[in-house]
Amino acid sequence: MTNRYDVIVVGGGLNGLVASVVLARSSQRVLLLERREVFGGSVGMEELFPGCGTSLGLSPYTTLLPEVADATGVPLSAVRPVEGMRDVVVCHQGQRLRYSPDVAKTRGELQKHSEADAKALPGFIDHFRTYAELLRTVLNLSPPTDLRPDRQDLWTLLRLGFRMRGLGEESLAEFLRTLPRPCHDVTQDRFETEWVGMVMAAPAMAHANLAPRSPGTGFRMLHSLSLGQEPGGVPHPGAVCRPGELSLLMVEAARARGVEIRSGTEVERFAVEGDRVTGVTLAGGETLLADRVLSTLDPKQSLERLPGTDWLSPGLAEELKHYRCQGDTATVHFLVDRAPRLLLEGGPTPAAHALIADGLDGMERSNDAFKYGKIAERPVIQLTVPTQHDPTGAPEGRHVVSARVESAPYQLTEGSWDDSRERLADTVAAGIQEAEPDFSSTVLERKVLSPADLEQKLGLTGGHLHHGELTLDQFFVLRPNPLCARYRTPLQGLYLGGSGTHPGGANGGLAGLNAARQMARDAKKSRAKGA
Amino acid sequence: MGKPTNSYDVIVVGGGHNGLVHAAYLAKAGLRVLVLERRHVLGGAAVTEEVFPGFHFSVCSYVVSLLRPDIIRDLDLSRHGLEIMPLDCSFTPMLDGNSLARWGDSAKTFREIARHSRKDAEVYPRFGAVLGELARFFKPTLDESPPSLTSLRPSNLQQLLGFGKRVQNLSESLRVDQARLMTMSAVDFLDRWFETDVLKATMSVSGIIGTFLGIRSPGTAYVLLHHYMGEIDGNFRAWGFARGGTGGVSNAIASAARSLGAEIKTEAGVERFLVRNGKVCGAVLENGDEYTARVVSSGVDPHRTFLKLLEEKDLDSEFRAKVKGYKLRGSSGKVNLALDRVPEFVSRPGVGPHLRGDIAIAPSVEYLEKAYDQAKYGEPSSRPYCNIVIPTLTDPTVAPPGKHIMSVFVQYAPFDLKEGHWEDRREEWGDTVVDTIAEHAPGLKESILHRQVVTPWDLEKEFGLTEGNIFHGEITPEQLYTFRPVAGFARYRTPLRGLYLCGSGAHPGGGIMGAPGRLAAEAVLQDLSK
Repeated sequence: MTNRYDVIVVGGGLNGLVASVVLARSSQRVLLLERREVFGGSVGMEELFPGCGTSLGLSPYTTLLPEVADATGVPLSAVRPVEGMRDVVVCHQGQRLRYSPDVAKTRGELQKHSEADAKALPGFIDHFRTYAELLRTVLNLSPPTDLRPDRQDLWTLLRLGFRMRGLGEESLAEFLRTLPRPCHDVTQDRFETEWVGMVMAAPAMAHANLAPRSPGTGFRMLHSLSLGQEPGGVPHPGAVCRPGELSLLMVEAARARGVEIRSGTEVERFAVEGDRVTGVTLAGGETLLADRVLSTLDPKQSLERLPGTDWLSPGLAEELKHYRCQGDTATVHFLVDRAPRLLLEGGPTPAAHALIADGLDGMERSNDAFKYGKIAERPVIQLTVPTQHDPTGAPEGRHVVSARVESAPYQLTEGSWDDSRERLADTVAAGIQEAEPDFSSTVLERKVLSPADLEQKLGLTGGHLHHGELTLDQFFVLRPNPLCARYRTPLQGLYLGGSGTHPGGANGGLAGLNAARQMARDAKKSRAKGA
Repeated sequence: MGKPTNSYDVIVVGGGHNGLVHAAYLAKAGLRVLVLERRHVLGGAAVTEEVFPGFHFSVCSYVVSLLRPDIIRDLDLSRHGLEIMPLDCSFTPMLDGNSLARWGDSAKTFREIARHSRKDAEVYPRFGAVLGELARFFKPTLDESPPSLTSLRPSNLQQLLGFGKRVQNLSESLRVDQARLMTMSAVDFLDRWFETDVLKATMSVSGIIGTFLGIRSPGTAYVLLHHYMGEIDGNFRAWGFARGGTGGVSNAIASAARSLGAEIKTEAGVERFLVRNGKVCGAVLENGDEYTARVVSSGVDPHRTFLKLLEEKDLDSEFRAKVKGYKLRGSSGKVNLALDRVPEFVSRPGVGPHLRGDIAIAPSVEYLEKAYDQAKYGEPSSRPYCNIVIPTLTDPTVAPPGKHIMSVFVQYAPFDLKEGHWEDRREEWGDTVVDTIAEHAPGLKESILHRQVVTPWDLEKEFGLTEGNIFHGEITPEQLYTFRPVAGFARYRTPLRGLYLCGSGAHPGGGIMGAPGRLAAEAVLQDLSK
């Protein structure tokens, strides 16, 4: 067997896995390289405490999207359904509310707090489901160069245009207005309490240095709703997977499709000849050749670290310098001897996660601290306990509680993370304690992963989980920059397909899918030219 | 008074600059027009008043920007006394003794910025050129009624197509800059060009004036353009003083309107609109007088228009809900000072030409962002952004001989205070503002003869600006163009027959542009000719 491949995919996160399967299905010879021993990147599993499979706590679940299922041949039915997997328990000032995609259930819960809000919920969900679906159409596009759409894009856009026009002037305007608005205004115009607002704001402000009052969080809200990646409560087609489940399914599918997979294999640099990438050189010195390389690592790694900077044009160097990807997330993991009861609020099965925050103002203040490089006194905490859904993940009588803390700056203005880890763990433990009064007595051990730790562990520049802030100014053709439109780069043969490309982070593998499709189209074109 | 004299073609509610422009255009077209103004002076927020003997304050709006050149021409405003004197300098003192001044003269500006960063000095003119190009792209929208998003009428399609063509004519890099300008925060956008913190701070503030946003809030970059739009009108630089104070603009327009036959009544506050059979057909004054007309145009803000001057039953509940969702959060106020002498700034002593333009207390990006952070939770900034002008250095006629006026625009001051009431906190806030400036100009306190403090609450109570919002509604992307004030009703017409909007709450929004007044006049004339 020669060591020449059609495509080498670098990075075995969800995007890399999906892309590998899709490329292999279009009869390409694919090699997938992953630096770590486990697959799935930030949605993969990890053994943080002996014998306990721990989700890094970064995402309470992932979704197998219908188009990903279609393109990879992994049927939605392959996912084992778990009741309550998209529910979130919101904890605010000693009160709790279980928010579920089942509107009738959530209405009932809201009714305990506000009759008017319970009444307003179905209308809200109706509207935003429509808007989220519209945005979804855009997420499946390959961003055109120079905003010049090709024939296929035009067709998609034309259909999108007609669908939008079909909404009528008022709804269309409402949709367009939602994008630049603060999610605070979007929800608080309709609700008198903050429950729904908090549920919507959590994913909207994540990983983008934004707060509920920041303009553009309306877009973030719709983005996460349209991908069903965050418990927003908007029902969507697709299958909800437990942490780690989707990446395992994809590894299986990749193997079945003949993808050659190597884990524990670090790529040291790309092999570059002139302005062309010809393959990769591994940490051991071995060089593997390929017609094309798809990097699912973040843009700075893919364009600066791995190919070296010699070939970079001043324009691209400038773009990368201004690409915002400073991490904002830390996770604190607690090994406990009893599962918290918190997630069982309002239902017989545990919810996917709990959101602990001091209302919308508290979420805003949490970001205020972050802006100046400080850890908030009362950060927003999102808590998952995967072993409550799958007890096989840990020895009997043991659970792992993972808390994701946003507004944890990669670069602290005062002190270093080495001095701050334990302080953060105390802050988080105190926060959980408020929502779950006997929590601290159940804790056996704890571990903190700062943004710098996540950078090292997951190979993310700046420890940024979305490979760069997902905001309107870093979206679509502006993601990661206009010089890398259509998943191509100025280096021939090098494609990008990670979260740093359209449609951004928490994408269920859509970036990998879009990139793979673009590569397949380009390969077909060049074959046709060659023939 | 007999009935017929109380009957007009058009009644204009509110004698602000837009209402007056509107009236003038309609009178020019031969209609019988009546303007009703609640206060004893005309001009609304564009007003000059003798607050203390001999001191004529531009109480609210203090500089003129973007007044449409065709309005100046059509209404022959120069003949009616309009004179704009350009502001030549923008001066930003810093607390470390340094400062930054930007001048009309580009060589001087280069030297100034180069003291901070040579690279920035070189980039500055290029930045101006790019923003000038983009301003050229956006400017035509100021002079046209916004298109509908869904209508297939030929004229509408033509307008949308024209917009598309203008996009297509932009070069690739301009198109990217345009997309970024619409979505980035002012600071992020400036970060791509400049490295000097104070330069970014003082440039970014134009992105937040009149909004309840910070300079790091996404979407604020767009407003940077407004600074460049004035320049390409060719008649004056972006900002200038009107002779005799800002009221000079309103007086010139009022004079033009009168000479064209419009009738103007002051101290004639409207209590409600007259609605008959779903049609607005007149107005009832606070004193009970009734005036009828074929058309009523409202120059007051959308909340006042729809929620106060109409009864709940006159509008359907969905439309009312949308009007309620229209954001007019006031974030600013004014402090006007009568001075014995001009105070000197530590960072640049002397009463030089640097004090003849605007003086910005915007020493750093962090200073401005922290000012915003406080206001979000209902507290006035303890160290606010101030934009100061000393009009007497350019136009001495507005104060007694040898005396001066300092006009201070202050942001952030939230309308809704978390603690206390503006009525009790007014002077405390005035002190904060004076203290803030005195950090840069220590002699200020001793030179103050009189002080007028105008809080957001006063702006609402005295000037009728709901929540004290100076632009009749925040200037943010979701409240601009075809969304202003409510999507589907951006073309000056309202759900009620006979009722039109002609104030800053309609496209293209606030500032002394006059454009809403003129565009609304076109809409009225079009409908009346049907």
